[in-house]
Amino acid sequence: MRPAPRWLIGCVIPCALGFTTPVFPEPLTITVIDEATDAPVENAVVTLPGQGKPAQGTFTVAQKNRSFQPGVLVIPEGSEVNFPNRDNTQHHVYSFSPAKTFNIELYAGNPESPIHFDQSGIVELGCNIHDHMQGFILVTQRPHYALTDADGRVQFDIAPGTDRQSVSANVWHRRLPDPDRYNQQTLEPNTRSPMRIHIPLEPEPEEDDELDQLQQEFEDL
Amino acid sequence: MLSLPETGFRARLMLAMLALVVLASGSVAALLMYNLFEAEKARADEQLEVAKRVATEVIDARTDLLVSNLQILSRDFGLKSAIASGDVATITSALENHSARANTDLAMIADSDGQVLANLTGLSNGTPVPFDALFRKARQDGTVSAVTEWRDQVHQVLMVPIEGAGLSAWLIAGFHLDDDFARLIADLTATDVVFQTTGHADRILGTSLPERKLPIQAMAQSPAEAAAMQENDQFFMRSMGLQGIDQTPAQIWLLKDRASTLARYYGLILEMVTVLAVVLAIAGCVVLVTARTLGRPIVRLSRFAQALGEDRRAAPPEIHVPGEPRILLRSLLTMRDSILRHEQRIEHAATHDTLTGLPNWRAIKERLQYYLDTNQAVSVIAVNLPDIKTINEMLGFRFGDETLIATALRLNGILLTPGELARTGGSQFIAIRPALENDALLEHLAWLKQRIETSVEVFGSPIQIHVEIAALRIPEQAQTNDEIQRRLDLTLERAASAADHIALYTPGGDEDHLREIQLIRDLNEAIRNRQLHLNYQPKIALATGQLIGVEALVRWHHPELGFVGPDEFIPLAESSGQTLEMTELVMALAADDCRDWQARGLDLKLAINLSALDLTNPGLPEKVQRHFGHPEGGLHWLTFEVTESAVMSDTGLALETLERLRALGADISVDDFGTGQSSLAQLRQLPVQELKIDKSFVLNMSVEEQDQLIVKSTIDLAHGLQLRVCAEGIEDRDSWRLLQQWGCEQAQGFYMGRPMRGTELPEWATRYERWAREQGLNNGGGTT
Repeated sequence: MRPAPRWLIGCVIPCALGFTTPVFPEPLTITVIDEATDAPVENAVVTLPGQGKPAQGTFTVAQKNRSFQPGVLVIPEGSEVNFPNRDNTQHHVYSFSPAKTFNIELYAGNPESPIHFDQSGIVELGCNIHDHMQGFILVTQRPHYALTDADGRVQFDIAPGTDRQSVSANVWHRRLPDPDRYNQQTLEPNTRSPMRIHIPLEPEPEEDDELDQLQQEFEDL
Repeated sequence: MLSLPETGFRARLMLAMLALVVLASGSVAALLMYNLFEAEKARADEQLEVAKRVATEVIDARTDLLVSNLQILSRDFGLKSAIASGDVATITSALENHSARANTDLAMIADSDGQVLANLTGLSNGTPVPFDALFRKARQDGTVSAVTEWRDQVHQVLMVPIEGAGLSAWLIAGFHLDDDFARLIADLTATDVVFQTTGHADRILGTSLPERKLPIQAMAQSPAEAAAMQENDQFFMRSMGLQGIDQTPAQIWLLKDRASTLARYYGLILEMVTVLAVVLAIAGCVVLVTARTLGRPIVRLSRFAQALGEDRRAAPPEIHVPGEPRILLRSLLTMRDSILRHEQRIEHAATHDTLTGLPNWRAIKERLQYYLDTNQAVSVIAVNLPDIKTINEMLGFRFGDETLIATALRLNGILLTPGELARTGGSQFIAIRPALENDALLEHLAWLKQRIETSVEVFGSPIQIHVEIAALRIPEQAQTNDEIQRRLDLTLERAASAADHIALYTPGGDEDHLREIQLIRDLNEAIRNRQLHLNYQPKIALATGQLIGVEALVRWHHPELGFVGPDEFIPLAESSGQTLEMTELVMALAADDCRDWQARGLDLKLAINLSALDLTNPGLPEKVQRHFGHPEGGLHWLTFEVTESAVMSDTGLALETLERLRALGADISVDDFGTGQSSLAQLRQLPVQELKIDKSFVLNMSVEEQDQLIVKSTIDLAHGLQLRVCAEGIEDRDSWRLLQQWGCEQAQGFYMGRPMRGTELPEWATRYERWAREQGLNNGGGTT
């Protein structure tokens, strides 16, 4: 996007102050940035309110290479998710999240039935025998949601609001200080695009395997 | 050897040496002990420091272990499920189960906001976690562990997160610092351990000590205050704070038992004391032996010196120690020898004559005493050289001495009895010879005299030796040394006047001598006490038969011996130098009597006898004046009678005295004229007015024609010299007539009157006058 010419800024600002009504650009592009490092954040979830509910569906979170794939899944409220095991080991997928507490005892292949997520919220997935496996399913009522790409960019085809009021964007990332809650951002109407959202993030955890950590602790003892 | 006063030296030596040893070893020991003690303390400090590090390690390790245990617990899916269920009863029971697994003393579960979900401590669920600070730290750091005081209890509190998919909670567990843990640390650190609430010495959390005999006093200090090692009578100890979050609620004390820590030290002390005692004992022995070795010779030498004082021939001790004691012994011996020599010299000098080397009087006396004591009869011979005085005066003392030495040698050569010949005085020798009867003795003495009396040559001059020899026999003739000496002296005097100059003692000779000594002694007293008195013999004028004067004659009536004649005591007075006093007494008495007579109308001339010594007294004329005054016409009524010998002896001084007496007006008369050796030439120079013819010429004059011739020619001679004559000893009328015919002026004699007391004189004078007229004495001259 081209930056606005100088003369335009000189015209638009007085308009924004009272003469013209600002509008969200269409399509709306939002860039999520780590406020600590000023770097774009990938795999952040941004949800925007909108008219209607999103369509329910059946999703899949597979376990492959001792990890949840995808690691982050956004689903509309009331959707079902299958947890096929594509590893050669068994898994014990569970969640204690208030939005959906479930427990699929050790299994291989496909569980008997999908899990029904009937309550919006953030559901953290874990495997009881592989502590390092972590996944998130974000159950939402909002019609607009997307994950940022490698440039931390997300694009919505529809305008987030029609009444030209400010809108509340829920931003989530697994490295949020409290990953059980959304980071709520208020987006003001603005002609400028993309919109930049800064969020606080925990630093990237070190890449060591949690199993190795345990191992290490045993050795220490 | 024991209890000698001299042991002081040894004792002091021993004490000094022992004191040195004690001081040296004592100070070494003290220094060593001090340093050892400090070293032990330092070691204890070091051990405690190590223990502290070990304790820290142990505590950390336990913390890690507890954390791990709790982390494992926290990962338990069942627990997580229970928590996720939200059912308090389920959660509490799960907590009970799990805390029992971990053996916790305190357990609770809190949610991620710090609200208690379940607990085993009686807290109401839903209240905040009591360990606020710790919880804040836990939320920041994850797992935490800290010592925390809660409900008056100190726990090690751990907080471990419980994390599951969609679950976030905290497992909180507390562990007491109890005895078991204390014992664990104690076993690893080899110290005793006490957990204590900081600042509360009496709040002991746990200890490894079997009994609670805790050093409460020292433990009142906080760890900051007790940074260095502390000690009391039971323990060495160090403290270390057990960190809480923002305070130090508890501290750990590491204690080392003092007795066991210092056991090695006490053992060393015991060893050292033992060694010291042995060293001291050895030193004592060495000192004792040394002191004895050094002291014994000293003691011996001192006893030797003491013995030397009593007996010069005391045996010297044997000294085996080289060095000073031997030097001292040599000095003592040298001293003894020189003392011996000195004593011998003194002895010799005391018993020998220095000139001749012969024994002296003292020595021969001892010899004589020996004969007297053993009653052996021997003859004692005294030999005197009367000429020595003359030789000394004429030729000098050297000649006299040489003569004496020659005589001594000769005597020694003749007698050949060393030890029995002695020089006993200036010119006198005494020899002891075998006892001989009188004749044999005389013969022996004559032989001896002849042997001695050959001339000797002294310094080239021949000197003729003359000796006087006396002898007596002991014990027959003398029983004591005093008697021997006195009687030999007397006998020598007799020998001097004997023809052959040899005399044997005759008994009685020394009684006269003793009488003389008594008289001399008593005369002095008699003069002072006026026991002498005067008799007066009348002097008659031959021409008229008139009494014209008296001669004062001194008389002595001795209280014991009776009458003592003037012939006896006057020479004694002269020889003992008492003449002057006697003459003065005579003048005093005579002056008194003269005054009496004058008072009774009797005016008489007075004649007083003077001795030779009186004439040598320059003060005589003054004394005369004191007694008789100095009237106008002079003392013409006084006559002083002097003997020829007195006038002749010292003519110069005597002449002067006589002239001064003459100047007083007195007459001078020469007494006993004709008996001495008068020089007419001298007589002519003397201021003499009278001659008295000795009575020896007058007494028998009437029958001896020769005496008549002497008397007549003497009278003529006197008249020729313008002198008057007084005759003594007229005992008959014929003598009176003859003297009267020859023109003799005065006469004295029994015929006219005997000497009488002054008081009798006036009465006698009256009787004489009548008798003289009857006898016709006054006109005798007219009959021829």
